[in-house]
Amino acid sequence: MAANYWESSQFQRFLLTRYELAEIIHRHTAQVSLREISYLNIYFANLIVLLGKRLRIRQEIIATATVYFKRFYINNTFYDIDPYLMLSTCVYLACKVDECPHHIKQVWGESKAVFAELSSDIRFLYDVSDIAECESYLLEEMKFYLVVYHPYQVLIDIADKVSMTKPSLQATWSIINDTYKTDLVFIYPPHVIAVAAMFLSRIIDQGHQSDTEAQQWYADLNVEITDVLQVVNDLLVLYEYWKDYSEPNMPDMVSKYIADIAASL
Amino acid sequence: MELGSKPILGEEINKETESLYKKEKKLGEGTYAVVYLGRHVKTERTVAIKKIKLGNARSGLDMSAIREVKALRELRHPNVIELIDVFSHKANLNLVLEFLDMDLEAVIKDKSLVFMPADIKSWLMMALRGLDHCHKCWLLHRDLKPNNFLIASDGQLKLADFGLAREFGDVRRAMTSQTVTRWYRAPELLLGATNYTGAVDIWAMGCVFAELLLRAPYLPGDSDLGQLTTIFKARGTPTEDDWPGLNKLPMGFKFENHPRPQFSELFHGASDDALGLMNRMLLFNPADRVTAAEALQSDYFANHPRPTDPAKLPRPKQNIAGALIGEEEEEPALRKRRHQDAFEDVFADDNSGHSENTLDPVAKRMDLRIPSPA
Repeated sequence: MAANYWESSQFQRFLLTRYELAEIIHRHTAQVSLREISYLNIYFANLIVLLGKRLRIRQEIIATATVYFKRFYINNTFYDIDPYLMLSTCVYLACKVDECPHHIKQVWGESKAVFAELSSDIRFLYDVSDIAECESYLLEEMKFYLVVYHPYQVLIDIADKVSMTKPSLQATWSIINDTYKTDLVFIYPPHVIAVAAMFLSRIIDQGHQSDTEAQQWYADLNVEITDVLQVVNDLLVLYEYWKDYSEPNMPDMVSKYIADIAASL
Repeated sequence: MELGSKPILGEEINKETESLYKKEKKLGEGTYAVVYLGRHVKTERTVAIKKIKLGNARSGLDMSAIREVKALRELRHPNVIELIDVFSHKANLNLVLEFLDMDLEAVIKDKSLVFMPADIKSWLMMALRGLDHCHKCWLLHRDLKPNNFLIASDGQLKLADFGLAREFGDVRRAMTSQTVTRWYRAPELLLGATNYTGAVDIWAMGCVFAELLLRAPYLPGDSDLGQLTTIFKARGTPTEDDWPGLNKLPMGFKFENHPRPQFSELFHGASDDALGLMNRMLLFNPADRVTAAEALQSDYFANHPRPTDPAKLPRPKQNIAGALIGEEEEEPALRKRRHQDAFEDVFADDNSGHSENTLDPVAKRMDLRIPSPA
C-alpha cells in the first residue's frame, strides 16, 4: 500500500540476503536436512491453499497468509506455537487485512475439516479463542506490519504490456504459486520473482528454441538477470525435492520434528 | 533489519516497545478507545497513546483497528498522522501516535477567530497534500470531515482516523457504499455505488472547503435520503449532461428539480479561483471531479494570496483531545460499521472474493463504474 514497493515495510524490514536467511534457518532447524525443510515448506503452503479453497478466498490472500506464516516461524519454532493453529490464524488475519473477513468460527471449523480430511493424526484441539489469542502473537511477531506485496500484480501488469497469451499467463501464475513453497519471498522483491516465473514458463514452453526477441526483452529489463537465474535455480531445486514428496507422511514427520525440538531444549 | 536480529518471541520485542513509553494522563475516553498523554522515556518526546479496547476478544482485532494499523504502518507524510509505534498489552492494542492537540472542527467552531482567505488556502493545501499521498498509495480514507483533520502545535494539519480506510483500484472488487459521515458523503455513495474511487474523498474535501468559508456545515442532511435532497438544493438537481446515465435510474428515483443556485450567492466574498476549485471538487459525475494532485496544481494555489505559514494560522486557546478518539456524535450505522466484529463486515465490503459483476443494479444503470486511474 505504500506508494511503491521500495518504500514499503516489506522491502525495508522483511528482506534478507540469502546468507542471512540461511543462517537464521540453520539456527533452529539444525537437525533437519534441506530436503526435509523443503517438505515442511511444501506441506504447510499446501494446507493454506486447501483451507483457502474451502473459504473461497483469492490467491493473493492465500499468499499473504503464507507470508505471515513464514514471518512467524523464521524467528520461532514449531514447538513455540503449534503450526496448525498458527496456520488457521494466518488465514484468519490475512482475510481481515484484505477486507474480506470471515467469521472466526468459520475459519476454525474449516481448519478442523481440512486437517481431519488429511489425516486423523493431526490433533487440532483448539477452540475459537485460541485463534484470537494466537493472532496477537502473530501481530506482535510481525510488529504489526501487515501489508505484503506479491508478484501476481506485477505479472498482470507485464502480461498486459507484452500481450501474453492466456495459457502462458496461467502457467506463469502457477509457477508464482509455487514460489510460496520456498523462502524466496524473504530474498527477492516481487517483480524479480514475477520475471523469473515468466522466464521459467517460457523455457518449459519452448524448450531450447532461440528467440532473439525475448532475449532482447530480458536484456532491456532493469532487473539483474543473475537474480532471475537464482530464483529459477531455487525453483528447480524445489521441483527436484517435490518429486519424492509424500503428503501422507507429513503429519508424522511434523510431530516427530516438534518432539525433537522439545527434546533438544 | 527486523528479521532474525533477535531470536526471541515477538512477545518479548513487544514488551521492549511497551517499556519505551509511559502513560502520563488520560486525555479522553470513547466507547472504542481511551487516549492517554504519554512520553517516550528516553527521548522525552510527547506522544498520544491510543488504547483500543477489544470489544470482543474472541474474534481478535476488529476491522477498524486492523485498517488503522495497516494503513498507518505504511504511510509516511508530513500531512498524515504519524504512527510511531504499536504494542499490545494484555488484550488491548496500543497505538503510539504523534501528539496533536487540536482539530479543524474546533478551529471552525471558535467564532472568536477570524479566517483570512490565505488561512483557508493553507489548511486546504495541507489537507490535499495528505490526501494526495493516500491516493498515490492507493488508499481511500473514506471518512474525511473537519474533526479528522488534526492540527499540530506548529500548525501543520494532518489526516487522522484511518478506521474506515481501505485500498482501492481493483474494479472487480466491490466496496461498501455505507461509508463516510453523512454530511460529507458523495452522491454516488448515497445512490449505492459499490465501485468508486478517490473522488469520494474529494467530495468530502469539497464540503470541508465550503465549511471553512461558511463556518458552518455546507450540506447538513437529516437522513440518508434527505442528504441527496440537501445536495440537490445546494448544487441543483443533476441532469443527464451533468452525470451521464442518470435518466436510466429506475422509477422512484425521480427527484424534484431544483435549480442550481449561484455559488457566489452563498459564498460572497470568496474569490473566483476558490469557487472554481470548489465547484470542480463538488461535481456530480465522479469521473469529472478534480483529483487531489490536480487540485494542488489549480489556479487557486498559484494565485495571490500565498497560503499562510502554518505556524501563523489562527488557533483556539483551549485544547480539545476528543478528535484523537474520533468519537463525537457518530451516526449509529457508521459506528456499527466501524466497530463491528469482523464477520459482520461480511455484508459490507467484498466477501465473495471473485465476483466479476458486483455493481448493484442502481449503480450499474447509473454507470458509476469509473475507469480506474492508469
